[in-house]
Amino acid sequence: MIRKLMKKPEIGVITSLIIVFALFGVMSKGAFLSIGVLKTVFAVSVELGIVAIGVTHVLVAAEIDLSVGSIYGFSALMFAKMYKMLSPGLAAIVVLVLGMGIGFANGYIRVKTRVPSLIVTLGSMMTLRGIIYFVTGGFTQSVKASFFTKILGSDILDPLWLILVAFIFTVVLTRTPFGNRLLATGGNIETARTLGVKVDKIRVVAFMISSTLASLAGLISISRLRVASATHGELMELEAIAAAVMGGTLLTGGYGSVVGSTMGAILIASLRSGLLLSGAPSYWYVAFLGIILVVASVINLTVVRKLMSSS
Amino acid sequence: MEKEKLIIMKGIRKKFGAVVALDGVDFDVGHGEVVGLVGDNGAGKSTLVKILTGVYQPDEGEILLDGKKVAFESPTEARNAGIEAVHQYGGVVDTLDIARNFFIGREIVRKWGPFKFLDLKKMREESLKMVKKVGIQLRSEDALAATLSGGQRQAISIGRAMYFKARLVILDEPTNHLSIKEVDTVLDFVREIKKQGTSVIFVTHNIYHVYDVADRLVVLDRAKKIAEFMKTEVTPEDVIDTIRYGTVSRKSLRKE
Repeated sequence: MIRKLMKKPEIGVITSLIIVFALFGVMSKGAFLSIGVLKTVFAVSVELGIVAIGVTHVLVAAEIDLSVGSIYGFSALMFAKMYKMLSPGLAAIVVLVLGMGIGFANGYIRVKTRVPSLIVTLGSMMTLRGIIYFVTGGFTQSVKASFFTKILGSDILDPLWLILVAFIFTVVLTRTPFGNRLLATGGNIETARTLGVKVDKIRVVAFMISSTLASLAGLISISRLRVASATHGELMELEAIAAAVMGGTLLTGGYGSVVGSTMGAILIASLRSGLLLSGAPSYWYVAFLGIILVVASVINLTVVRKLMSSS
Repeated sequence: MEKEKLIIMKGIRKKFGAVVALDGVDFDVGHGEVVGLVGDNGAGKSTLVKILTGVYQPDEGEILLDGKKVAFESPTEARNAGIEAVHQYGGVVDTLDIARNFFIGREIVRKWGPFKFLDLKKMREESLKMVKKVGIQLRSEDALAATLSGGQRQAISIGRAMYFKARLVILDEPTNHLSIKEVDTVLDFVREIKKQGTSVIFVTHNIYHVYDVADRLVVLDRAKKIAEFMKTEVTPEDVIDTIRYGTVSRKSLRKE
């Protein structure tokens, strides 16, 4: 059982998660494990986790998506701008369709022009952030509580959304023909192509999954917080990529774990709250995140190397 | 006569910019026949194969399958017509296990309403059955392809071709970088495929490997077909001399 577990690339994030929980539990004299704190940790995990799950699909395709932080912020703020004109439900649908469209644009430009996705999505990240400032005038936007915000932004339901999204996309990635073709495309694009996989279509869909889930997470965040500034979601793309990599997803493509990415997001969220609670200055968070990212990646790579070498 | 052949390529011409890769090549394969396609590097072997598998389209010339004209616009079209290519490294994705590799693009699914889910159990059973039939021993049935040897990787591709009932299997330099024992395994694959009535094109520049299994040998040199031998007419040395000097070697002519 343990030997089997040691072969799972999620092992790095599981170990780190246990250590971090134990460490913060002790350092905060138990306060970290209180209901209130755990609630915050999970609330942050839900949003980051959903974004990370989306990004995982792009990473599996051996691509990268830097635009998810901006899509997340854009979706939250567009909802805030539109929900009064339309109904909240309709505004949410418009936002999700916009999000999906951005992913389509990212993917389409990537596969048609062959410009690396790093550049394409860096471009859309900056463009969208610019649009956010233009639309909001740089001001914080707020949203009134409604049935919709209660459903999408409640402490009790949100973890369920995360579990649901994680379940659906675990199935998509590991149990569907699309998932197998996505893994093949990321693992060896030439082989996938010669075996008849429509690699361009597959990659465009991966970008659409990423952007749509970032958009959904943005909606959840605005429903929960009910205010968002123009900087909402900045640097989230890097946290999401970090979460995925910690969870065992290979930046080189061809392998990824939705569950791993989810746990990576929980780990990052715990770090943020835990450091704060243990009285460490907030700037330590980024440093700590950096260290954990490298450590978890080293553990994962060791596991993957073992899997990839004859033994 | 044309219907007796599985595939006939006539006057195939292909240019890449100013470079003429194929200059009016005629080539054919009979039913259940093993044809060795030989020639030095840059002779045009792989271009010919890529045209046959739909990767490239010819500038001129035509392809007949069972006497009927065909034009493959993509590898998928060629595969649907029963033409399957096996490359030494090309056919397998390192990060996937055997079952997933075997069925890339043609997964076995179970339908559930509008959704299609992988039938992983069946994929595993069928793929392992075929790979074993090809004659390969596996140390771990669930290992990632990255851990497999060159011969084992080819067994996946060949098993795949047999499973999907390919009519023509094209082996592109299948024995490069293989150990002596693995070369023997690959040559056994070829005999096994032939036994099932499937045609084979064996592309290589190692004459000794192909000589063992081929019925007929076609020699390409600088974009042209310069010789065609029934194996019984020549020795491996004759073929090597033909490739080396670019003309049919005297010794083999004497034999004719």
